[in-house]
Amino acid sequence: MREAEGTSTPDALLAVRAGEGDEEAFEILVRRHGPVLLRLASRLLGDHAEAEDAVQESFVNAWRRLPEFRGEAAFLTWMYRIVTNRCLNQLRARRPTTGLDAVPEPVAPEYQASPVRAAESTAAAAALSDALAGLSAEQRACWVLRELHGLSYEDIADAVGISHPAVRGRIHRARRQLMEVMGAWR
Amino acid sequence: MAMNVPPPRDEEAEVASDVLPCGRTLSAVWEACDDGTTAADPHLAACPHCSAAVADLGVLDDFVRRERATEAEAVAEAERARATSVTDRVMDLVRRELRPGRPLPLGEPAEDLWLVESAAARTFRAVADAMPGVRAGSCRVAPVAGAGATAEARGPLRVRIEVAAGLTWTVPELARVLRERITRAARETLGLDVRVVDIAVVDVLVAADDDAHRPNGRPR
Amino acid sequence: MTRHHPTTGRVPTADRLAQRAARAAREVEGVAYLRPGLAALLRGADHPRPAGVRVRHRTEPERWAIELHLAVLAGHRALDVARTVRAAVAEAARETLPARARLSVKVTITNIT
Repeated sequence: MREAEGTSTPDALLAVRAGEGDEEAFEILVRRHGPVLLRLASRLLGDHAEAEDAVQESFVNAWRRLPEFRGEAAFLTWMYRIVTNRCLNQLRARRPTTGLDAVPEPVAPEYQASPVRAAESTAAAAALSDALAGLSAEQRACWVLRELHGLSYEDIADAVGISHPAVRGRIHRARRQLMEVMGAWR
Repeated sequence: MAMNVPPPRDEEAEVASDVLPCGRTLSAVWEACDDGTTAADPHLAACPHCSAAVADLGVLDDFVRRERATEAEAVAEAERARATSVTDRVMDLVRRELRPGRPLPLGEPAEDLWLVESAAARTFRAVADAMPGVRAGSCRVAPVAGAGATAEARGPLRVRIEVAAGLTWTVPELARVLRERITRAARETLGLDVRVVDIAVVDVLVAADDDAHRPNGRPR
Repeated sequence: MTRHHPTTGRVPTADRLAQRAARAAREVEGVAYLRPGLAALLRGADHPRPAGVRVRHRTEPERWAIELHLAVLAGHRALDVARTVRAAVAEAARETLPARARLSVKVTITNIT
């Protein structure tokens, strides 16, 4: 199928089709949501190559699980959950061997793309990247999903696998820590 | 860079107990900022602690706004290339995954000819997609004989298809046209013996549905 | 198995039969490609047994079963292509097999492309 003229096929229909083995429907979903999920993974893992691997694995995993996907959540929310999970597992596995210092700084590739923007915001971006790198994996996931991806607390709780109040706590704590760093930068 | 991460604490308790020197909780100040109600509370502007907390959050929000605005702009070439390469790799892996799929009988019993259900479903979905303002969802094809039949049962078939349709269609009209076209495609394009076509309209398509696939309808 | 071909005297191995069947199927108009199974993907392209064809053999009485998985080009009627493939494969196999051997050919269309 082609992406249609005027009317785009809703995710829910495409997800059902993909679950029934329609590869082209799945390809539309991957094209539609790949970029934002890549951005999420880059922010969580701090590395483009690892982010690509994480998103690729998440989509293949989703394809295998789609026949059981009953549309109880929106497809993108479901993908947020799979990608977040995959990234958190990777971060947790990374920590014992490498220590916190080795957690790479989250990248902000957009800033390299625009010289003007780079000039005005490199300092802020760098300060915030540093601050983000200092957060625990879950804090960072909660904050990024909330502030940069606009997910609801419910969806974040679901994606990260913790309770709604715990999400609020992580975000509060993340904000405070980020602000301390940003305050120092000012 | 090495941030000193404090030992894990009870974060829920911390949210409640994060109190500024003036007695306000940090979460209350932030809530006022999030809700845009800072102007309604003179204390927030007058109190040095509260106004500092508001200003600091402003710095953070600035960054967030900028980050989100950049997203809304045209995506950088490198990032688009990355997304495309991931799509290609995913689809390459997906196409190699063999989902056996149920075979449907083609031709006469003695001929031993079969067509996998997903290929038939694809043809019927394409028939629906070709109609203006119609998009197909689920499409299953199975022997009329029903659930008791063995995996390779022969005999006439039933198609069950779900569609979303624009408001220009009435349901009976849509069902009549789609049923007629699916039956014809089954006969002329495939050679399948389709006797029953069940059609369910599961959703209404609105022309400008750009936000339909975003979670919570929030801007990203 | 060591039964010899009536005219050439060569052994009709399952591999040779599969190759003939694959060639006959590919020549049919409307066939896009023979669909490799997982085993074929793992074996790689240079293996003598072609993708999309499975040959099984039983003795007493001698019996050969050929099974093909293939994709059909859009614009060709699936049933007609499947029928033509089945006839072409049966004919090609008959040239290789002893007259008394029983033969069955099963064609499954996995995709329309």
